[in-house]
Amino acid sequence: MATISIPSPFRKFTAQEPEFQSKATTVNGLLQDLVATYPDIKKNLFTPEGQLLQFIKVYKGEEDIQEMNGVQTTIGEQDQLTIIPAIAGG
Amino acid sequence: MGLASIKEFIFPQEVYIAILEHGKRKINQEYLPGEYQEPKAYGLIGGSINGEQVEVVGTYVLTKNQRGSQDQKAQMDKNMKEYAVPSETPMEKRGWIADPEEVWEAISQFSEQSGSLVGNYHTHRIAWEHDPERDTCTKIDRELAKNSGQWVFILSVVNPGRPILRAFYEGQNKKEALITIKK
Repeated sequence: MATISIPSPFRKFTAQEPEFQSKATTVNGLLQDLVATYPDIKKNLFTPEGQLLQFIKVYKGEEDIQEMNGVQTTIGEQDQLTIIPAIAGG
Repeated sequence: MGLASIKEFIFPQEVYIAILEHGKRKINQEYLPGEYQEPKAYGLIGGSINGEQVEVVGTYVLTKNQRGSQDQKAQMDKNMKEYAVPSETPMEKRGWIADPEEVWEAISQFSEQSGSLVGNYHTHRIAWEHDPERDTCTKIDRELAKNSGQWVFILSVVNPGRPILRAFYEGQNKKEALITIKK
């Protein structure tokens, strides 16, 4: 199963779990599985219309999925993904 | 327990000094090559969570500001208009947004240091009549950190000779953690 790392600030939404695994074959499938398991994380990942938030990035290995095929990027059992949270200040 | 339960951040002295020096460098308008030029410092903090304490493992100086990017400007302008207290800095210059590539590099760096991303810091440099120290989070800081799960560190450099660093969970001034410097 592919594994996605949850950044520490988002672990409040995942019962403090640092990782999530899914049998999905695309990034979108994995994220949908994640949201189905931990619904509270949804608003920190997606717009109300279901698009990945602009400043949330997902990396597959060391590469931004936007440089590949976006959320339709395919993933395999050995893939390691990372969510990059949006960070801003006043 | 997670970040919401943290009561204390323990900084190695050199890491603490690095943050102060970052703030000092920016208010002196000394910039790194390619760095976004503004007298505001902002960066990320990595640490190892141990119960109610975080052992800070390092910081990452953010050199880019996406605040002016086409995708973000309108929303940030709206936030500023709604939540920011007017100041001598024009609204369109207020606020910062981290470049995701730098956040990625920071997360990788913290991981190599046996830590993880725990929060971010930024400077407040101008005293306000109703808030002369500027060492707490403002309404706009709270709005931007709302539900982020992150600690917001405010580095007050209102008096550059007496900088103050304080930590607030999700920018809430009532949820402050102790900062301890380890020599």
